[in-house]
Amino acid sequence: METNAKQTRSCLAVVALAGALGTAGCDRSSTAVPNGDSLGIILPSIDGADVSLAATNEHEVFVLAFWATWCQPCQSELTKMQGMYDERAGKGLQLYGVSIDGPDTQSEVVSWSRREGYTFPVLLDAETEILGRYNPKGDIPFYVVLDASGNVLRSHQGYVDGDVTELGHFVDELLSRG
Amino acid sequence: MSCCRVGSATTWAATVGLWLLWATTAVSAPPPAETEQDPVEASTEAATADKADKTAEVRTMRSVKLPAFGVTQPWVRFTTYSEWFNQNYDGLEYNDNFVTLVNRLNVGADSRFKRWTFSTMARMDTQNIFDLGGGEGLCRGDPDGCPYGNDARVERFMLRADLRKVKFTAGDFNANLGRGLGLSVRKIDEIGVDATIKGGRFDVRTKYINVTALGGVANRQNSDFATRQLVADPGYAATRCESHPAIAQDDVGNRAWSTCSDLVTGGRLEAKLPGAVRVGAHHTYIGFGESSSTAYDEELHLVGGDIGRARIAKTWDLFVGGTSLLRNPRLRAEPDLADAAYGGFATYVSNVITLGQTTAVIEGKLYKDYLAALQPTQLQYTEAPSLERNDQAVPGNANAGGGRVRVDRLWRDLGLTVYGNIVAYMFTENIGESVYDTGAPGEDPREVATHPYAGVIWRKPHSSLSVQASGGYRYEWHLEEVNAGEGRLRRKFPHGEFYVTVPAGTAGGFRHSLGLSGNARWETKQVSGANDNRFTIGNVILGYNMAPYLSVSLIGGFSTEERAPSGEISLQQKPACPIGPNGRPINCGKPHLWPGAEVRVNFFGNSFLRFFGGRQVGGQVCVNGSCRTLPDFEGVRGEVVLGF
Repeated sequence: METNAKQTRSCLAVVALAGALGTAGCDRSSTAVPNGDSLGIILPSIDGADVSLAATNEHEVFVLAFWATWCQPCQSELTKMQGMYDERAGKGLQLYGVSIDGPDTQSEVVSWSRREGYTFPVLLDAETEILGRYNPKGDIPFYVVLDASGNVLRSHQGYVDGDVTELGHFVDELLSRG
Repeated sequence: MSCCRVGSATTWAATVGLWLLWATTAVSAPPPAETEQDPVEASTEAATADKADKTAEVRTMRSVKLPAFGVTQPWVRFTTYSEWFNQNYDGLEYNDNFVTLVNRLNVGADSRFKRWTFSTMARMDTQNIFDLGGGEGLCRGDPDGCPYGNDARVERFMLRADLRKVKFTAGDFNANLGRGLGLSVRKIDEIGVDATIKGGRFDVRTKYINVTALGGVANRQNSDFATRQLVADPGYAATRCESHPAIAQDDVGNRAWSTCSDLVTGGRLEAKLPGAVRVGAHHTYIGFGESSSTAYDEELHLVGGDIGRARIAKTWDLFVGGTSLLRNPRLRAEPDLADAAYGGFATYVSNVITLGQTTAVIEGKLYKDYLAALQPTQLQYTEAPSLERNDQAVPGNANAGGGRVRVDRLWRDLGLTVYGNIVAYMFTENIGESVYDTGAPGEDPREVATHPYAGVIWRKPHSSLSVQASGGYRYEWHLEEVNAGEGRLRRKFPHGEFYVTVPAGTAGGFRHSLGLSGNARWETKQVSGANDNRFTIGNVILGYNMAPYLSVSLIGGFSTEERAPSGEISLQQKPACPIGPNGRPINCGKPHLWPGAEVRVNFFGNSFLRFFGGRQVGGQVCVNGSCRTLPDFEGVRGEVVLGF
């Protein structure tokens, strides 16, 4: 059948391209999952590595900010979160932007994050597995605050002006205990 | 279907049980997290430092140490919806004027051991329907086909053991293989589909490879979020087992465990090569069961692979994927059924180029007969990227070929981003046709869609003031004239959108802000013959926020797609309604004005109340080739979400 022959050729072309690109790779950066006191969350990042959320000390605070490129309030929230992160990154705050974009818009996650210059890691939760763990309803913007053991300390759905300031106060209080 | 598929007493017992469980949990749980009594400072930037010495108490549902379960943190999320569906303007009177009470209780626990984590989750859904009468009454006269009814079921259940590099899941889980080309079963908010696979899943993640193997049956949320109709689990499989009393308690399925549904199995192997190159291969099998129009069990194989690499030369991210679709391959040898055995394919390429603060996304797609479930309104098991915005209806994505280019430029010091985008593709709407067909008589016409748009995003530095605005022009036309004299237009419309957030300072210890957004399109659509329907659809929303507790929005919708019913304000003259058998005009049309208001109150940090009253414009929404028509809504909708 001609269609099947075309499909076979398409598959072979993909495989050939895979081989060519694979051997052409020259960046030796590792995609290893780092060790540590893991929170049980491993997601791919936009940089091609699998990132395992792990605390290096018991006083660290993790904030997972769930967003998508088509969500306008999420974009404003992430901009504010970047400011919050800039002030607290050295004090034990671990911020992760977790995109739930599906296949339609996943490419835009990369371009959006690179252009905005986020200094926190941006992870991909295309299956919404991690979002579903903390927000079964699944609506965004949504953030969850975890302690170094993975305990949920706070979560919040929605974003209006002032929400990240509020979050910043909460994080400060947690970090001040360390 | 019976109108009340679960006895009212049973459903009410379940509903009351959920409320009691919630009340018990709420009382026994410590007060939820709150940070301080004085939530807002005069200056955003100074606030964080000033707040450092506040004596906030961080409280949440605490972890407990159980002898056999390590350190365990239980959690609860309870959602209650109550809605009054007054009128949906679909021309039918037996599905209007009723009230629903829907409860959704999620409970779970995460137990953390030194080297592994064990998680459990269960979700119980109940639904009660109250017919307020009027019109023909809810489903009156059509009791066997009535999709409304009381219901109670365990909608989701999950056990997961996570040993870092190895993970076992039993129960409900989402799946996405090969960027949606190989398999995609997840919640898609835009069209209100919430689906999982109920079965087992095994994941291995190592330094060099990732492996996923999964199998189970499709499980769709049975209470439809937009209509509150009870929807059976997807596919044709009900005919396979619905008559088995031990399995199917009603035609929506078993209330404890989805069984009569499509069978889904799949696997993926992904190698991580030097240079952050990922090469993957996947195979998915879907067994649909026997449809009412065929004498065989429909089945499908999806076989493909992909390769991606991030930051080639620090500027280029590349993804190339392709998947073959083989439908009913076993029927090739059957002379009478060989036509049911055919193939399709999907190939997709994505490039992201980053040059400083300029980014470009260049994508291409070529799909042929790439539709898993033959009815696009059924649960689709793939999400082939459409290259379009989420707010656009995308017809014919199963047979399409085209590309898209988007360029964004950010001026960081100004907080200004300017972007331009153009997407263009050919498509045909029927399976079995190709965009490469000639369009000769006997073949389906080919269609073309182009959609250029551009916009700006301005976020004032060191402020919460932000402005987004965009506009574009979508044009769809037939390459060949479908009927002589009808012209080639399919639909065309310019459109515009804006989204503004204005901080309004602090007063009374709260931060205030205003939001203003709007969208509109001015559409011309070919309907029949040489006539076109010209209409305008849009929304203007004015919002006020008092962080962190209160949000109020006024929504002014408008739509002139149909004639306004008598007694309603008409913004545009439209053709008269057709005359019914009794010689009187058939009740037709939709209002031109759709006003509404929404209030949201946050409390306990993780919980909120939300009320909407008024009208909300519905319409067709397509995401990744999976489409559904969301109904118009007129009534009151209340929602309570409680989280602990």
